Amino acid sequence: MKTHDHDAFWARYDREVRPIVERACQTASRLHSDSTMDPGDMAAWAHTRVWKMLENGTFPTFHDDPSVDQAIDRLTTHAGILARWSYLALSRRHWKRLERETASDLSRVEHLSVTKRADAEIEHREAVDEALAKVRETLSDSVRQKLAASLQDKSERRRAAMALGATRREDDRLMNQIDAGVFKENTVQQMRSRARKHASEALGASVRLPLIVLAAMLAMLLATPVAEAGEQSGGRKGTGMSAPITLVAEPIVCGIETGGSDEQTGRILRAGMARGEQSGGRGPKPG
Amino acid sequence: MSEDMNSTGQMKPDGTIVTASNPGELSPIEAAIMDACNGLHEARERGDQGSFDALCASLTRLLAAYDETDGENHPNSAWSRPNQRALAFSAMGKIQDAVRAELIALKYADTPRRREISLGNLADRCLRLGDAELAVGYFLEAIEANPQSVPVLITGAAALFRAGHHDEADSIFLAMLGSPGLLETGTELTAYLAFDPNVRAMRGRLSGLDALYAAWETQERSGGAQ
Repeated sequence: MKTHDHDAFWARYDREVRPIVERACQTASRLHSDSTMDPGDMAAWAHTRVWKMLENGTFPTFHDDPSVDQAIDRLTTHAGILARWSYLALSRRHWKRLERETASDLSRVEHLSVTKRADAEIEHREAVDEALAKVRETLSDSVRQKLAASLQDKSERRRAAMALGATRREDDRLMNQIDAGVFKENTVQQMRSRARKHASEALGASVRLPLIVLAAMLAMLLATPVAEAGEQSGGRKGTGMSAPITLVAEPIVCGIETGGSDEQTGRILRAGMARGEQSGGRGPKPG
Repeated sequence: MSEDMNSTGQMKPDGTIVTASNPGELSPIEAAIMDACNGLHEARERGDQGSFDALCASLTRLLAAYDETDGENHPNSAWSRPNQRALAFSAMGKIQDAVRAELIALKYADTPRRREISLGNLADRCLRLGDAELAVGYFLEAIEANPQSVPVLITGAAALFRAGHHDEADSIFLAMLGSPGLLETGTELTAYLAFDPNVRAMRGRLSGLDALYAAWETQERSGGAQ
């Protein structure tokens, strides 16, 4: 095609060929990738390909110096082939990206198994401290004391008191009095009720759920659990354990994909999967 | 039937993640328990009953082995044994049992680190039981034990968010945003952003968290392009 025809070609291409190519790309995306491949990306690839063929005068559209009419006709007729080409050209990158985005069991468990605390610390935590101080103020000492002291299960009171920070002498005295039966059951019930109400009010009107103290929480399962945030596992600084030990004589897991890790040495779970048995020992503790 | 099953026998969505500040400090069984717990949480999220059953059986054997070895000679097995059992109960969806076990562990938590872990875990489980106020209470205690703990701060942010303290929750994410070192690859914060379904659920509702996600994703992209 002559250079002076290019403008006319592109004008007709935009008007006649582009919509057909884009529809063909949508169809190809649906057929070949369950619509996971972006038709826009595919069409962009096809348009670029046409541009390159025109610039270089190459097969199969521009190799024989066609007129504008001929070129448009060829591209219109073979728009489906252009779409197919674009799918093939993009598919490798596309499927790799999808694979990366779909985390497997293995990648998540493995990732978490080597997650570490950052060396860095929170640098500007004044706002956090201020916010927490504000929240802390809303949960007064007396509420904590009453929450802990008024637990229905006596055996849980001390634990709750420690957890809630109700560890003052007067907190201890109140719990002793309740333990000893100084207060009537009705009085304790009222204390519990008032403490819940007070805490709910203190924590804001937007709180919809009632404050349930520990014993009640242990005794009753509330509404559908709502999962939030995460948990931590402990450890032992400085014991330096590294070698796997014999624990379970059979493969530990079947039915879930797990794999190796080059970081953790004692991953019984994965070792069980990989080898089906455990052997070895643990050296003496250092120091 | 475990607590995580509804009346039709289907698993309830109830995800969380388990991390360790330094996996190298875990004993072999503790590391395996952590892996199994994370596998279980994920299996429950995905409704993968086969994996759930297999991992529950594995976890039971691991706990038995841990008890038989007195917590693999943990320096404070009175704390570590109920702590590990609580992790397992939690992963199995038996959250009340997990709270019960963690309260026993808390009783023997003799260092700020152990106290932080037990109180932080209690906060997490209280939230999963739907009690945001008590979770806030536990969080406030946990953060006293270690003001720099990222998992505790994230649990706290979630508790504050659920309790209606949105500004206070967001202040935590904004503070994290101002500490770029926390976003390095393989750190606790990136694990939470990537895998914790509940942190992801707060996305779009807290500007600080959104900015934190944007910073992390930008970093991930630039890292991946290298």
